[in-house]
Amino acid sequence: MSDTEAALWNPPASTRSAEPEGLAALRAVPLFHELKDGELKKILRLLHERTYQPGEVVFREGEPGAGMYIIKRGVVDIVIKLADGTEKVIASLTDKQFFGEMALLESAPRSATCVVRQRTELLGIFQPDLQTLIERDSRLGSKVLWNLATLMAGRVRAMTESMRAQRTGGAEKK
Amino acid sequence: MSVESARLIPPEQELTLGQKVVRTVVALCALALVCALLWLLRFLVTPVVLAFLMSYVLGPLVDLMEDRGLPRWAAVLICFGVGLGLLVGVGAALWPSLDTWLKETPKVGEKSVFEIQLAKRLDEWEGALSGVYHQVDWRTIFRELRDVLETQRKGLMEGLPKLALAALSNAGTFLLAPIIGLFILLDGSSMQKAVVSLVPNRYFETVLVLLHRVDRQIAAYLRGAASESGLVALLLTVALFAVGMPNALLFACIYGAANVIPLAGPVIGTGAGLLFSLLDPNAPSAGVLLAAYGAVYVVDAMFINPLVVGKNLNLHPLTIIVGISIGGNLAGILGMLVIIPLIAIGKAILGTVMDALRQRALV
Repeated sequence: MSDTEAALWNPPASTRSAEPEGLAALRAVPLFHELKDGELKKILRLLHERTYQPGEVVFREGEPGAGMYIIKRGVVDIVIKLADGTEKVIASLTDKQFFGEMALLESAPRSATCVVRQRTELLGIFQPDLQTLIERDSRLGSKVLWNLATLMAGRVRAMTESMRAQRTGGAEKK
Repeated sequence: MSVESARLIPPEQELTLGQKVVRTVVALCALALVCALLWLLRFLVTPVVLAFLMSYVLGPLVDLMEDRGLPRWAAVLICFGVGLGLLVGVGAALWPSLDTWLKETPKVGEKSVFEIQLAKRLDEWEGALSGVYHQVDWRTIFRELRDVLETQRKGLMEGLPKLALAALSNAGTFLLAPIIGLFILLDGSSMQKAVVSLVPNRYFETVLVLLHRVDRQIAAYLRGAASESGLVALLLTVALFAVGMPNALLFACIYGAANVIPLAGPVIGTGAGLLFSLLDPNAPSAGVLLAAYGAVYVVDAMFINPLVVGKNLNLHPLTIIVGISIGGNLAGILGMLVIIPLIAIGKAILGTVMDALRQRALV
């Protein structure tokens, strides 16, 4: 994974220490970047807390996605299936990192499988919750959507750079 | 970071035939247990259903007030207060006509004003028809009609104390509904979260999305139907008042409530008003009334329904007719009123569940 890609998976360092664990986890997620405490608390009320055991699958590649997960505590692997049938871990994520945010916008099939490596506590926010948030608090909903759009733009830029690098590398080899 | 390996993803658990049989048996037993429990607690079904209906209708108002910064408990109490105020207001407006009606209720051996009026009208109709169509034996026909009406009257008079007793014994049920509704409005989202938290991880996302879709469908339908009924009742009150119909509010409320039933509802509502106009000399003529009801029906069909109800659940006319027959057979007028929303809700749930399961390749 390139540095730019890694930056998109990784949260910024948490600046506060004496706050509830859920709130700290939320603050670390770029999707909720620059939200006030009151706003974060509103989002916290929407979250679903789930506990997974090692080896358990959170979602599988190809299943319709419904939302994103924030790791409160634990480790998960993001695994893709390659054309030759082998499987490849594209990211190992731990505390306060997040995954599956694309599913907040569309119910397209998941592009990878998420497998839990240690006992993991996840906070899930789902499309219906985001819709409710937008309907009930359009100001806060807009902030979250803006952050999501910024995040997606970053992903597209990273992907474009990666493809350009691959193409340049290929041309040099020729 | 990238790790490649032949098997990193645990395979999906394939059940053996024995496991499938055991699971099916357990699921069927659980279903039977739930059905038995529901049967045992059937006295709670009506208040719980009423409470949910109430929470769906009042929910958006409570949410709106909460979003404006009011504590949820205060928003719920205000909504309940306003709802209660509206009920008391409508009751107070209806009271004079009900009071007159009660005062007119005859003592044993006496006849009510209504009965005297009915007898007078029947005599008038018999005389008028006998004058035009001599070949028909109107005397016999009207005698039989009077016999039928007398039997019905006796049945009603004898049944009234039983009806009053049944209403009193069910008072607890109707008191329970707002109490349950209050708690659903206060803690509905926490209750839903608690239920979802019991779902195994494998089915969690599916159940969550499904619950949300069903919730939206039901909410849209019920809020639409409630708003449409309210607006139609308001409009008809004005129209009936304008044409000088006695008890305009009462008949508008009957029409508004019946309007929940597609197709048959407006007919029932109009029928009640027309029947009254035939018997009450103070009521406007049937033609004027029909024009008032017709105008409101057109406004409803052209403007209110498309604007307020929005997405129609498209129930087939045959479904409506069969539904109304079953509802009427099971619980009379109340059954007819309740059955169509229940069928609509059932259709929404089934459609959504099947969609979601198909999407997730579970069926």
